[in-house]
Amino acid sequence: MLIPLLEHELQNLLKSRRIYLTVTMFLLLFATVFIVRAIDFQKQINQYNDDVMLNDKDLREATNYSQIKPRAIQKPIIFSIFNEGFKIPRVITIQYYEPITNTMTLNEETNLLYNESTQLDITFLITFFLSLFILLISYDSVNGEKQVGTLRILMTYPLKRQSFILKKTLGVFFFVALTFTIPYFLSIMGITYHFVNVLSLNFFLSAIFYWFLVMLFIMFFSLLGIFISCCTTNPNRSLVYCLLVWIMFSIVLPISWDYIIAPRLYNDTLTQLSQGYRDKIMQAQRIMYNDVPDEANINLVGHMNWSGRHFFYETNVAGWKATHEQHHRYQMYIYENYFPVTRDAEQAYDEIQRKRIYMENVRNWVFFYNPIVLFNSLSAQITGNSREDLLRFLHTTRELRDELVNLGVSEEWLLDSRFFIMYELETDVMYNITDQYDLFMLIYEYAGGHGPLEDFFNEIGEERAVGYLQEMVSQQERYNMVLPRFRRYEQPIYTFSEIFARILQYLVVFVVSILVLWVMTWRKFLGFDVR
Amino acid sequence: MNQIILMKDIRLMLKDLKFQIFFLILVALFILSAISSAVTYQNLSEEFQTDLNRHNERVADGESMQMIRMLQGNLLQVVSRPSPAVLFSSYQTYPDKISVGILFYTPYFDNYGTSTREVFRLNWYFILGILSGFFMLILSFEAISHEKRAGTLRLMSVYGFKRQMILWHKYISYMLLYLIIIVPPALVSLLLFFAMTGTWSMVFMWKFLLILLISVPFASFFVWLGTLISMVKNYRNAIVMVVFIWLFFVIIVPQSANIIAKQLSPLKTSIEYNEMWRQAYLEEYQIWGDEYGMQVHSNGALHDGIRARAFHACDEKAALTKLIEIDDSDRQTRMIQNISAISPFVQFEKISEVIFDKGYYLLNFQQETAKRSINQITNLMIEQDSRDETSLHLFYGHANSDRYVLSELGQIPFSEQLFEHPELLFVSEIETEDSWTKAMRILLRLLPILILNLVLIVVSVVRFEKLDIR
Repeated sequence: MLIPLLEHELQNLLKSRRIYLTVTMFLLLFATVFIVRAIDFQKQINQYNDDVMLNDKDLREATNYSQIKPRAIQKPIIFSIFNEGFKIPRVITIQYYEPITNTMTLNEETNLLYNESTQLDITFLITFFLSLFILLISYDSVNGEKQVGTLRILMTYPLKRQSFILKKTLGVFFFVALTFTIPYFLSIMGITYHFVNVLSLNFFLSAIFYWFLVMLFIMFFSLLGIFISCCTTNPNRSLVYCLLVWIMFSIVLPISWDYIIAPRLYNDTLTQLSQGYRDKIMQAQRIMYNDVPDEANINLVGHMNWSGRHFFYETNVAGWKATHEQHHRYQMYIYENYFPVTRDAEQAYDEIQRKRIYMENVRNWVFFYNPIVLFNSLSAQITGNSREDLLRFLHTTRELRDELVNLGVSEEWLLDSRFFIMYELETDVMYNITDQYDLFMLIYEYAGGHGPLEDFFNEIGEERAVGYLQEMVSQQERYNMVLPRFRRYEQPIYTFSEIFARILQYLVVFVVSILVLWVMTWRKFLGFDVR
Repeated sequence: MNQIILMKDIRLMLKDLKFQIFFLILVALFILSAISSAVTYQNLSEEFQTDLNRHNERVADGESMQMIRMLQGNLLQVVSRPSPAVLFSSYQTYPDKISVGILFYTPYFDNYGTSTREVFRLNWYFILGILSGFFMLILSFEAISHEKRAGTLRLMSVYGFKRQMILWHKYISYMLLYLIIIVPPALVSLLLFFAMTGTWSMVFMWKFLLILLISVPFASFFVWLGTLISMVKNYRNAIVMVVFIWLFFVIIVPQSANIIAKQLSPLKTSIEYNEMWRQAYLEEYQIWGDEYGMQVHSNGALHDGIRARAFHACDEKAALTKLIEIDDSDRQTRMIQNISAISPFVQFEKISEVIFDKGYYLLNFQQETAKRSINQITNLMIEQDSRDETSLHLFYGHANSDRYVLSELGQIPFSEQLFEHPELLFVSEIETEDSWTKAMRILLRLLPILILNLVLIVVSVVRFEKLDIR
């Protein structure tokens, strides 16, 4: 009995002009958003490739340690076309001892005068538009039938009331599901064809989970529309209720939480945590600059005054070996004292992020009845661009950094004075270096001095100067360093069970709320006056 | 005007459940917006105060204000003081503070407050510019169809009322309704905000009233649109159309403008701009190096100032590339604005920028102020330095680096005296335009919405005249 009724319902829907209008608009929006997002993604991929090339070039061309800037570069997530999620810059520069807490951009377009980035993605389309469209399709599905008199006739058939409600729900559900599924899978195919080089298993897993969530979302709103339609006999009234519910769900409640309730609940804790983080950073800075014991104080040997023009001034004349040993002592001091504190700072930073994740989870529980909030949160979990993924990115990069630091310490290059050679790449072009001049610059920077070469020679005496030159020549091969062994950063690949585990608890809430709504609708319709 | 019709219309609308619910929502939203904006205002004020304190500390510490030191780094700050305008909109899209170095105009743009990526923020712009349009559409989309269904339209024409008159009465009653649901809660919100922040000001009171007045033609646009839609045969189809039109203007247009403009008027990437900077610097350096050789490449005879001049020239050339970057950003921003100007809502926000001296409108004046201030400070520094006999009067960025070497010769490149006018380095009062020019600007921005109103009126009247009211 159900199938013919369902057919009948779908036929009814297909006859309505309102449906065509809705579908046309939705498809138009879907296509626009998808194309715009896909173009944007192509741009991101191009910039990512540039980043990687640039990074490799830096590594290839590095002639001393200070030029090495190991970076972890995150590949743009292809599913971000559908769900942009928690957007962060994709590069982390590893600076051996510095705390790794933030991401940066290496090679991106930045408008200096306009800060806003768009949030128009398919998820927004679903949570904001699709929800409204479903309500607009279903707000008069029961009381509308009553108004035109068909409900009375239908009720004369040997048909249970719950069957009637079920067919109504399924009618709306299948119709909207189809309207979404067709363009969705077409767009998935388009992506598969166009971005075949950057596809991964994650993309397909995300696509399946995402589709499943959208289906739940559609089911919820179909039921909600029908429930409201059962609440009043006047379709105009149910339209108003639908709009009211929609405004509350999509705008008023989330905004009230984000701007009024949450800040009041968590501001103190967050301020406290931020203060803790700042304290750790300040402590690290004190260790780095103020509390340096005399035996490690590099300033005692060579105070380097960086002028910003690749020149050092006020550099005391000291022997190469003395400088080298002092640098070594200083590096040891930094490794033993500064480095552990920066790791505490990292922990403090993570605490802030964890608190924010906790806040997001609380938000989900507070809005357990609101699929718009749940869907937003779950889709980021599925796609792999949530705040938790930022933490994961930071952690992986820190692991890479630790590995590199341990390697550097065990192989001793990290504690080597050459680590401090501040030869910028520009220097080559800027100073039109000849071999002799190059050598001079090395002496100039390491052995100190000011004024032209002659002054320097005069000042320290020709004999010493020649000594330096000879020492430099003998040390020359030390500058032809072997690059440390870098491990490439690899993006984590989530498995089906991992994604499932991430969303399980809220998925259960989602399903339960649908079941509750179904029971409520059914009960409501049992008491509906069909006359 | 026929009072009977008007009263009938108003009574009908007041009884409407939609109206009652929308009114309650608006009251709640206006109050919530006052509370959340007050929190934002407090945060912004704290950040502003921190900046001001930092400036004062710099002035007090004695060394930072040495003129020779002032030649390096970003010193001049042109900032927009937090104002009650935050109740209308947070204006986070555009930077509200600029830091600039003394030597060249190469600004660094920044924002007070963190820029979050929310589509909506709870403030007056959200209520007046976004929601109220939707509400007016929903209230008016069955203005005619309802009367037609109920048969009262037929009745009125039997009584001899002209069709145009019926339509205008409907319109007037809707606009009165708009004022009823907007003005009282808005005033409560305004007073609440003033009370919470202690920023009572008559000037802002007038500004907020003006913005309420200006919102009327925007509401009117949606009333006419709703009325027009209510004349179609199937009003249930009309509701879908109505919602789509609203969403198109409120979200699709402004959000797409950003993406489209980025495609049509792309910027270079940060690395490309850096490369431009580097190239400009090196080319200039090459020219000076070719001419002066070691006088530029090494310390040379510093007191002749050739090296300082050379680096200054390089910096200047490089600074020009920064201006290209700003110009490119400006071009893209203008394109975003031009595309999004299709939406009346965006126009409304632009008007508010002029009224409250905020956003992109202010940014232009901020930049002008920064340029003017730099000129003024530069002249004052050169003048003060000319009185210092130990100075070599080398007003160049590199001077500070050369001071230690030159001090051995008993000379300094540029005066080490404290700058006599440190107050000029922190500018928070930014002059914009006079009231008349602003009024003209506002009128110009209002023109499209007024024309749209006119078009809708004509179409509605013509359509209503032909409408079969049986």
